[in-house]
Amino acid sequence: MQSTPLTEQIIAEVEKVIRGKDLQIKVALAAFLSRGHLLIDDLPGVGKTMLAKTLSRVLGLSYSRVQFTSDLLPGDILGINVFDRKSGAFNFKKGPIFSQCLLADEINRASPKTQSALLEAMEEQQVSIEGKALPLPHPFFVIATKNPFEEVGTFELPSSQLDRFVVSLSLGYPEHEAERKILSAHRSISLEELHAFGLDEVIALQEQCSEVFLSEALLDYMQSILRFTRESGIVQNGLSTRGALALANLSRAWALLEGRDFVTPDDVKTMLPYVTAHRLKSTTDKSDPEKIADEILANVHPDS
Amino acid sequence: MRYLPTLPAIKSPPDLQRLLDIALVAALLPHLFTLKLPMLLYLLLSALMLFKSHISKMTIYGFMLLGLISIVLSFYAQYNIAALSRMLVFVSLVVSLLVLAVTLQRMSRTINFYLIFSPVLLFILAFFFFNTITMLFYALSTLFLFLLLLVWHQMQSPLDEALKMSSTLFALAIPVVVLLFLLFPRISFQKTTFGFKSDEIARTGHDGTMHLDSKALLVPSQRVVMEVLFDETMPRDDQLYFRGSVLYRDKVSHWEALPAFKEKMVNLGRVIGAESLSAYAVTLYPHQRRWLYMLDLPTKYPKKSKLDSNFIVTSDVKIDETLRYRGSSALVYKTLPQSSSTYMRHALQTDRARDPRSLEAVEAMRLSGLDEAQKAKALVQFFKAQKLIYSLRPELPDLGHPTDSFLFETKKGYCVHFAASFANLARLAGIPSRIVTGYKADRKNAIENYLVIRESDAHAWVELYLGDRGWVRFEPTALAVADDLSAKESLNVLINELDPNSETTFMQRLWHRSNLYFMYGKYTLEHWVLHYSRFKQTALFKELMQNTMFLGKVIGAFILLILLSSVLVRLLQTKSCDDEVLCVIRPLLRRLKRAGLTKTSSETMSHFLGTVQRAYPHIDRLSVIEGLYQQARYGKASDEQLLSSLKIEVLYCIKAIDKRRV
Repeated sequence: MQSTPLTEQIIAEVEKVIRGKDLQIKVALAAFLSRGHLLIDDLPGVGKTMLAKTLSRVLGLSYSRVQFTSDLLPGDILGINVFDRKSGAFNFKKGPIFSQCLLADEINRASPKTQSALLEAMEEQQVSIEGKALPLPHPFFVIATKNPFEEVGTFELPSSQLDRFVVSLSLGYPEHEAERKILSAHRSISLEELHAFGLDEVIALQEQCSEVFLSEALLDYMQSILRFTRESGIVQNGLSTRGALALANLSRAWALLEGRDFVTPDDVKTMLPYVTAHRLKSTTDKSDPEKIADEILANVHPDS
Repeated sequence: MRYLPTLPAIKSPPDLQRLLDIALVAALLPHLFTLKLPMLLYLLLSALMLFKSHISKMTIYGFMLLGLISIVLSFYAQYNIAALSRMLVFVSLVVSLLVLAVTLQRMSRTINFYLIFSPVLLFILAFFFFNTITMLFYALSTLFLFLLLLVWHQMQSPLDEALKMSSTLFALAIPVVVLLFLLFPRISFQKTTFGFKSDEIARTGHDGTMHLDSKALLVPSQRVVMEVLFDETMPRDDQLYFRGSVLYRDKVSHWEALPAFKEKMVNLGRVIGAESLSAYAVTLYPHQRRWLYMLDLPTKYPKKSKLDSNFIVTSDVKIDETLRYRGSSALVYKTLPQSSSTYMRHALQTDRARDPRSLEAVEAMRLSGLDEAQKAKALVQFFKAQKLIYSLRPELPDLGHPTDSFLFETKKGYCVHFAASFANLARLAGIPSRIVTGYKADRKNAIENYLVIRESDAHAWVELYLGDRGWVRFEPTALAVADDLSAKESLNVLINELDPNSETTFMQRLWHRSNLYFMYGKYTLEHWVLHYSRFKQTALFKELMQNTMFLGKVIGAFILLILLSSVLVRLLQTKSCDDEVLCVIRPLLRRLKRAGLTKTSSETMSHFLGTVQRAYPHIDRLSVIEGLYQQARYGKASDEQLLSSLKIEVLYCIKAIDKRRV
């Protein structure tokens, strides 16, 4: 319960820069607290990069950014062995992935090979270079942005890769009022003006998140959701176990952000669309991925 | 909490003193019927003292004096010691002293073992006085109450849980109690069958005379006179005549019996055909007279009663309490020639000048050469030829010449008129006749071997003395050619005297039948439970030893009982709903449903409560309910404290909704 102020402070700080996006900020923070990675899927210029930068600043994470292009190689992200003439040996030069918060901008512009190098590192929490395993820093938080497929020169991420992002978020255009405020602002607040919270506090929050209680009734509820996605036939492939785990952890994080130490069905319901949006593909209707979550919720009821 | 200040009272039991008060009131209840006025006044006064916060020592001494005076007054002025057995006086004295001691102890406000034990003692003492069905139910419910109070006190839990627990204990005890009951029969106090006062209303249907005048206007009452249980099959309908009195004297407006006089007892060997013997047990309700009604013709009759030569059995004492006796009767019989000339003289006594037309008619029959049986046959034929009509609301006959009036003028009447006219006609013809009044039972009022006899079964019939055949029963009422249906409808009762085809509606029949079954149940309970004595136990055990079939049945029934009780326990222990949090909030959901807000299954509770909040903006504690509910249902540790505060909030919320309604 005492965490309420801290999480709210974090959100308040982020909101100073990102206006009118309370929900998205909260979801992004939930993704971080659940130790997952965030995928932001939207058009350019709506503040994807800004959100990533602000979050890493406020959470006090070391930050690096990689702009993905079609000629980007895995080594450009992970790092390369460089021959040192003085010592006469190869030294490993760490790539940008060795930071606590990595912004992988426009991830779908890179070749599949590069994409998968990043995604494997995300999953394993370590990088293997020539048989040597190097651990990634802790916490490790990847925010990837992705342009819609219609854009020219993109490589679609395979669904197995997408599954590794805990949440897929879409920012959308700001609200009328919020946008007006952005336009009327004399100058934008620079990130240095924001309060950066201590790493200890942030890690403690992550610990707290994993201790949020998930009751049997809710486990039942989640499993019925899983069964529904797998058996009803409204989606091409059902939710994976990793997806289910993401739902559970995200619900915990959401409960924490709501100031509770236990999960309620509403947490699950709120989080479900973010979990399913990039994982599930409708068999019939291609247009709106959010409709899938709605359909699931309309068919599976928590017993209360 | 500022609302619901009474809620803690529901949660935990009141203090021991209050519990004891409840137990004492329950235990004293039957004694209120036995305590005399001074004692009752004393009880009332001391009950009033309980409301005083402080009672001085002097007041207690005063009350002790008052109590002693009341006891003395009760026993000195009110009790008729001779009328009661010594033990009952002793018991009522013990009760009075106990009441005195309990009230004084209670006033001093200290609780000791003796005070705790006193309700049980008072309860047990009540058994000395009462022995009825009412008492049985009272005893069962009081036992349950005692158990409940004890459990409540010991568990220190909410009342509903104590209730559940004591019901479980009660259910578990059933087979044990039945077994103990069979093994240890009630002590049978002959003198203790008093019953609650309402059981002791005098019943008067048959009163020993038979009126032909306006006193005779029949008001058939459905009150029960007696219940009979036949050992074997029930006799035929035309054999169910229960003798009450035998009337000889025709006093024009009424018939009456001969005054009792010393007579030589006749030989009782009048039975022909032993197979026609019927044995039965009778429960006779008090009628404040001495007649013991027995089936025609009694052969065995209970002790402390006598059989006279008219075959009337009378008790030695007035029947002022419910009497149970056994008897047997010969259904087919032949009486020996009457030995007493006094009876014969009276059986022929008639005023030949009173009913000239009847006399004329009898003389016209030319009966002189015939024997009695033929004469009687001719009379029956003549009677039939008059085309008399049975009516419960007849015109009254002219008492100047009642036989003529009934036979030739009014032609309407009921059993009394038929019997009186037939008897008089027989006497005019020279046949000795007498009227027997009593009850004519109807098998419509029977279930298997159980028979109910009501006031409306009161009847009068005629016996003619046919020489060597002795006294023979005649039923002149049966000679009626028709029923007066309009009169019957106006009475709106079931007429048992009439033929069985009498028209009644389905509802009437149903009511009659269910009432009969109810009475049968009550009778069985009385017969086998309340009056289960050592004799019945011996008979039962003997039957068990000899009859394997019966033994099997009893064992089967016992196993069934054990199963039943375990099922009952199981039922008591299943929760009404499996999720205790949902149980707590369900009343609110129900209330909201009535108000038009229904939670759909796809909705979560907090979403629903949000909807409710919009509908009832004035209720400020819905968010608290939401929080508590979620905490209790999805939180890590859902404890009692949480649930009870949720319960309180739910109650408050329901109240708030109700208030807005008003």
